[in-house]
Amino acid sequence: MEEKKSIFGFIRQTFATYGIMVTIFMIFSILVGDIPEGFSSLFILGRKGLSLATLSELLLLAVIITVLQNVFLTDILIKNMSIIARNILFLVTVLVVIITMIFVFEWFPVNSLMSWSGFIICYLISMGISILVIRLRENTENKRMQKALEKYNQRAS
Amino acid sequence: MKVEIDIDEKYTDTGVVIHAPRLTQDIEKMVAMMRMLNMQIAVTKNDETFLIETDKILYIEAIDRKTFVYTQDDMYESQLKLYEIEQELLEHDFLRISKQGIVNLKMIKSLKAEINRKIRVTLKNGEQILVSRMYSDELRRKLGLK
Repeated sequence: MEEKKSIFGFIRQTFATYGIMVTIFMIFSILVGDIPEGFSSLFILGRKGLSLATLSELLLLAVIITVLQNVFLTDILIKNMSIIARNILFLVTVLVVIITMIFVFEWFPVNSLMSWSGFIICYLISMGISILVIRLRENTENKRMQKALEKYNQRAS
Repeated sequence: MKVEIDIDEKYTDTGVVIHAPRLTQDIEKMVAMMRMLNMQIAVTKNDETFLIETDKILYIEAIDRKTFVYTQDDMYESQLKLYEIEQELLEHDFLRISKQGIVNLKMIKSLKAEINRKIRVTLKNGEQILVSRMYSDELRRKLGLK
């Protein structure tokens, strides 16, 4: 059966994203330790863990990402658009949201060129990797379906 | 309705004769169903009835309680409901692709994965139709991918 879109589906999706983000940030805070303490508000507690403020901000980001996923990566609102265009739009809007949150919540000093460079490089790398993975997966799936169709037609004729 | 079956060795072929005071929609449907056993489908266009071979059909679509049959160059209307056609044609390379449509698998040129696990089908005449998520797994199964 086709899965019906519901508020519970949205909550499940949000918390899946949130779980991944919190895990990454936890690993990062353990690895980097107390270095970013005082430099980044995200790691204000250093190796001790993530603060309530950080957890709330990450939850807000997870909610926004889930909304954007539903807007760009489903056909609820946009009916006709290529997968690659949808992904680019999704990643660009997520970037805009993160930049806004950096300013609002002061995740790192906004006048630090090094921080911005690090952030942009990390985001571009992850964006590049995700587009590449999506493209590869799409091509593989299309080739697999085309091969199966040819086989089917050979069997049928 | 009286149904008589007369089996006798004197007959060389199978024939069906319908006796009725007038041609009704039910009779038209009955004939259409029987035609499908012969891999033909009775369709109409501009008040003219045609018999088309099922392997000439690209896809069949139901719009506003009407059933439309598409071939390479033409579009016809059928008296039968989509589910009635589906029952007869599913064993013959036809597959339900959405609540509104059935496609002839032999007429598919290419397949492309779409968002939400849907599949975009390009037919041999270049026309494109979408396989809904609900039916895309069935298409994958039919092609031996599941």
